[in-house]
Amino acid sequence: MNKMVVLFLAMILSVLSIMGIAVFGTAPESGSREPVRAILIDDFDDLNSAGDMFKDVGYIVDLNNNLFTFHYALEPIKAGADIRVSASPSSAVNVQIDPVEQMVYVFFNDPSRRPMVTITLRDVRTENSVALTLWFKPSGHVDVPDLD
Amino acid sequence: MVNYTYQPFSQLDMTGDLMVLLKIAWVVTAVLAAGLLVVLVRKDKLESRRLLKYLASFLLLVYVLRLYVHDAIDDTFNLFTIDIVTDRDAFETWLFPVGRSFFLIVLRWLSVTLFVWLAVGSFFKHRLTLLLGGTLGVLVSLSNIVLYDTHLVAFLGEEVVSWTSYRGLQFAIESVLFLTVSLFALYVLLHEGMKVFTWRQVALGSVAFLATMLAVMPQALLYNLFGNYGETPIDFNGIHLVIIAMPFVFTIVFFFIFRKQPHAIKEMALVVMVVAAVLQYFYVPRSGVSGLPLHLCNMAVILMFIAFVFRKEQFFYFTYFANVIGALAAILLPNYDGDLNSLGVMHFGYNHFYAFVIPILAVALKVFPRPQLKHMYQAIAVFTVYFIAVVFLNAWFRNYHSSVDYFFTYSDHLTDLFGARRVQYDYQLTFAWRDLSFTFFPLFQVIYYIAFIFLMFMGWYVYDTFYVAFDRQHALAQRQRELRLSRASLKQALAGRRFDEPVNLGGQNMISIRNFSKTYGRAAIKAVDNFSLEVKQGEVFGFLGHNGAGKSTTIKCLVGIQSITEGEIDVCGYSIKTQALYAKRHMGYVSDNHAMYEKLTGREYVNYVADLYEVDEETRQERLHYYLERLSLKHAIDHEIKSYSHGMKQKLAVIASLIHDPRVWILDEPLTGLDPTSAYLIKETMREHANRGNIVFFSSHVIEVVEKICDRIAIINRGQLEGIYELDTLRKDNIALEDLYMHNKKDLQ
Amino acid sequence: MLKRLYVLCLMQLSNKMDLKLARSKRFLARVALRALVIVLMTIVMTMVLHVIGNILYIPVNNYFIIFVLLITQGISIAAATNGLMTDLYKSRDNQILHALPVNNDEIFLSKLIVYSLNEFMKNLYVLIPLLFAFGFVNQLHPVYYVNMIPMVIILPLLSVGFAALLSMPLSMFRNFLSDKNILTFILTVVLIGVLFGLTVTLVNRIPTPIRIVQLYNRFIIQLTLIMQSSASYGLIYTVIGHMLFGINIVVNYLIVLATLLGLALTVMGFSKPLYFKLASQSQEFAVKKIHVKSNRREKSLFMTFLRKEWIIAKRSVNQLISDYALLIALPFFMVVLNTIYMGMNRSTTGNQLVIIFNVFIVLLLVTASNTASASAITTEGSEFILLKAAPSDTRWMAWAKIAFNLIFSSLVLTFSFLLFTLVLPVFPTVDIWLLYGLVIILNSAHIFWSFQIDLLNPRLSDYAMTGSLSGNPNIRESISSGFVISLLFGAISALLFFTMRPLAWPVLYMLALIFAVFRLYFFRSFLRTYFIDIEY
Repeated sequence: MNKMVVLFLAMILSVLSIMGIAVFGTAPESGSREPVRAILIDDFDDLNSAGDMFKDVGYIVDLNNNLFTFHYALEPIKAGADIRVSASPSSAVNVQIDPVEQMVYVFFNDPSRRPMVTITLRDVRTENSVALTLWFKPSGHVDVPDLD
Repeated sequence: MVNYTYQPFSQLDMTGDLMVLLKIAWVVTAVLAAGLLVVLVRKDKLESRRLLKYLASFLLLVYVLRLYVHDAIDDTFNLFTIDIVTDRDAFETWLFPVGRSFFLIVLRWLSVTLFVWLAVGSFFKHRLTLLLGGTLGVLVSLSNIVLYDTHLVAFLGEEVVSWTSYRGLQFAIESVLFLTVSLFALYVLLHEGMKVFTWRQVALGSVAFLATMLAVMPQALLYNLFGNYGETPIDFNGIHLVIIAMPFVFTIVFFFIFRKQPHAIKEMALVVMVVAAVLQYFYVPRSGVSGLPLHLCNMAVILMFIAFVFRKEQFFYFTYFANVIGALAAILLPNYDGDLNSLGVMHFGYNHFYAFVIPILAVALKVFPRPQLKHMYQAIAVFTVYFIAVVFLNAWFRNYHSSVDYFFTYSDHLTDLFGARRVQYDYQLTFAWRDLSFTFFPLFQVIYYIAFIFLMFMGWYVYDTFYVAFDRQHALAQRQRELRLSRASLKQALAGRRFDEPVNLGGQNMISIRNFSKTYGRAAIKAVDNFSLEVKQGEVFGFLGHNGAGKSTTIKCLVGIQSITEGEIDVCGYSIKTQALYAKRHMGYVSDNHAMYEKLTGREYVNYVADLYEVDEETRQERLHYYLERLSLKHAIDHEIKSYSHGMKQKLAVIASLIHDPRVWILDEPLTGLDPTSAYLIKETMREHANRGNIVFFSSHVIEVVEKICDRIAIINRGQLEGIYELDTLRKDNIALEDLYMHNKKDLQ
Repeated sequence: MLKRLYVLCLMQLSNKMDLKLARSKRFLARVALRALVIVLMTIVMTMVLHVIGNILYIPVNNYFIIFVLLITQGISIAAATNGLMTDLYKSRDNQILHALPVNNDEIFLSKLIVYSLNEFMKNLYVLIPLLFAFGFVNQLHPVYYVNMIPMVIILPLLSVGFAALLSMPLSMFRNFLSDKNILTFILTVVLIGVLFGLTVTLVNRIPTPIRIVQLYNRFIIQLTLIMQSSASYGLIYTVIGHMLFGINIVVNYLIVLATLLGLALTVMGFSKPLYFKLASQSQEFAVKKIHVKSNRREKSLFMTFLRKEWIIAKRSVNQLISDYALLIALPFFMVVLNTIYMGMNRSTTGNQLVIIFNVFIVLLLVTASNTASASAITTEGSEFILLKAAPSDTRWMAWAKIAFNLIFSSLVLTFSFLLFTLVLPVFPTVDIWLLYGLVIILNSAHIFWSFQIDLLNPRLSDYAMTGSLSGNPNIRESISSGFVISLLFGAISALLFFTMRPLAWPVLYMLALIFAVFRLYFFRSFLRTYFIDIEY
């Protein structure tokens, strides 16, 4: 056993201790907060005939930048939420959520393919959800497509 | 509070003349049987000791069979008329009036103790055991026969009992046998030569007997005497903490009581415990497959019995490595379901107590040799087989009995304890074969197994730590004794003089080496062999020899750096062995490897050395100044030694060694690698120091140097003194030192 | 020149590895074994990347590979710089090499080549499997694998080149500092202080109450964002990353080669005037350090020894820092961990866990810092002769060394705990100081224990010969025993805090005191009995 081992051990233990306290030693969250009535997204620019929200990311995402972010909001503002995010097709992007800042990060795996992706936010407790479709709008006048 | 009716039995059906006659007949039978045995022994038909061993073992077996075979084993001690769930004073529920009930309890308790005592005592040639066992045995067995009918009533809890019934006969046989064995034991004692015991021995024997009584204490006893005590041991409450502490305290106390006893006594005490452990196992009624001794600690009890009685080391080491940990875990994490006096708790306590204590004590007291790592690997192998067997048996026997749970590998007792039931129940496998179903919990069982193996390794670590600590302690005590002895012998040699006075009054002005030998470690060859030499004051003495001849060794022993294997070395009359500090006060030493703290400056170093030699400030100032000038080192004295050249370091070493103006100045290869100026200065200093009436003793392999400045020389070769020569004489005889030296070497070749 | 270079390289290589092996059968076996290791590593890496991409949900794309390149090459440059600073300027073979009829550039170059070869060998087991795995996970075009091969050769050259360039000013700086102990000390303290401040600021940026799950999400997002942005600052490594992915292959290749060439020229250009100077300077230890003092007699032997310890410690700050490195790391650990603990919304159990973990982790770090005691007698080396030959009770040196160790570690501990109370006022002050007391007691006990280990088995001649403590079994044993103490007292405190909270501290103190007294008693007995038996 040498000092490096001890240091390593201490680090592992630190991580374990944090996990331990998080699992066994935290007070339960107060469940008194209101449930989510709706999840809101403002950052869209088109609606199709079915009322689905569309956002053209063609002028943001390119070969040099594969990241698109958008903000969402809850109603009521201080609702007790557990929001999960998913994408379809899931292979096109890597999507992550920051529930504190209420931001969604969409990393395009290969922007050169210009995929169309639907991002869905869903509250686990109330099953409320909202979807936003990201697409690379071709130039010229194009109709917003219907989703299958 | 539940109401109960209490009806003491006062009338017994078995009083009457027949009963009295029967009792007399039994006593007579026993006496006759004993007499017959004596006659057989006298006629050399039988060997008395062996006979006693068989009989006493048989008696114990009869008793154990009574415990095991009978359907209501706890009735053996239960004197209650009704259930004992409700809090109450025990004696209110006794069958007989208090006095008689109490006497009965004591008799039974003494009986079982004596069975153990006689059985174990017959195997060890310890007379006091037999004396106490025999005498008490006669008294108790007679009382048992006298109170035969009362006993029987208590066994069955019925008013009307018959001696021809199964239990009646059984108890009659036991009692008669008991009396026979006791009488025969007394005969054996006389036969082997009775000796007078001191009161102290008898008192100690009695204490041992009382301890045995505690060891074999029937589990129902506390209930019988005190009723249910009330408090249930819950994890780490007061009672539980006491239960946890008990085995540890006991182990330590037992160890210290027995550690200096003869081997046989230690072994006997442990065997008594082993037998007691078996009895404690049989005290509890067992039924069906769940009663098989397959729990780790139940098995331990049986294994230990086999290990001790038949000297099976493999069995023992399995208990040592696996059971001790199992028992400790059980003591720490129990599954108690009743109050302290209940049979469950008593049994649990006794069982794990023995499984924990006996193996540890057996090794600590050296009844079994200290195990090696390979023993643990063997134990792990056996444990693996055991574990697999138990997992399988649990799955199988569950088909027949819902409480089967050997070693807790089936129930959720453990997972529940750690709040991890899901680990067990989320991963289970079930197979069906004919009408049997087998359920396994792979994840839980594998984790359990690995955890236990891990604990075994931890256990090994703890054991090993203790071994090392004990050995170290032992070595320490040994060494302390040696030091005390050497001080005592010095005191004797000084014959009333003070410790700071030289032991060798005649040699106050010289170095005296007498028959000195030195061996390094366990080397076969002596580095220096039977070396004797005297160096007188005013001399510069050269010590000549090739590399590895033993010069440095001699010098290191002379200055007290290394120990002396044989012989004596005195410096100014002080023995370097026993008066090292006083001898060193008169010596200055320049080593051959310039050992110096390189981060210090020359001045700091000299001051450090001067502090060690207790030189006052003024003197050191003066001498330092003198030698700095003399050896021209003044310019560098405040530099860090790191920056010194070889010669400068040597000069500094010279200064430091002369700072207390020693009467004996010893230098090991002082001139090696020096430039001519430095060498000259040091040689001058040596001569000058001798001229002031001191001794200068130095080693070298450079003949010219020795020739130039020495008065006398000694030549050493392969650890042996070749000769001592006066240089003046050599010069007169026209013998060149070089020739002499080479001649000596050639001789050897 | 090339021939001389070849000979020089071969000389150095044969010193480091067994070249004779190259022609034997075992060589083949060894190559096969290494190939197997590489294959295994590739499999492991593929799995790791899979976990990163699909379970940790971090995008494994070209940004990822650029980031990984940056990190691994950064580490490799740092390691190489450190290694080269010894190898180029302070290595023992310099004295031999400089005496050979070759010019200094050739020595310099040969050393760099040898070092690059070593780097290349190291890369074999990490970089190649990683790049392969990355290709598999992203199902890349075969061109990727073709591009990989030159990169595996170029990357070590780049890192060694950068390292060589960096090593020159750093060596100069080191030489400058070598005889300025106080400046070194101040710089170290300032550096630690700045690091500490940085850590505290960073940790305080974690939003409270800490919810581990959310924090984890944010951590992953931040990490991904950092990876993405690192590409813009990745310089040559961004170019390599792009090139691997088949973006502008020709241009990027040219950039990489030009960089390599430029780097080589710069290194050679700087080394020409500097190398020999630096190498010879590092070799000279004739730097005369003068400390003028008067002759003084200490009041007692104890003071004599203590003073000696103090002077030596003062003049070897580096040794002191490396001895107590973990103790110096203690405040970092305590503050970071406890800020996180305190940030969480703890229950009663949580509060007890906090104390238990503190006891364990603090003890672990503190007891691992008593290596100076565990080598106290050993490090006397051949100087121990002096103590053996002296006509005084030199056992006092043990007490002096212990006192020094005790005082020093207690000071650092006090400072750590003071800092702790100041930085984390939320933590119950009483518990902090109770913990402090406990740690001081147990640490003292462990110091006695460590010293005893060395006392019973000193390695005087080993140390006298090598001057190094690496691989010293006493130090190992001391650290292990410290681990056992931490484990034991961690477990005891867990037991006590969960079962009898109000009595926990008193009982812990009692046990610690008993332990300390026990250790002190034994240490004293062993010292009295065995010190005189130690032989050099």
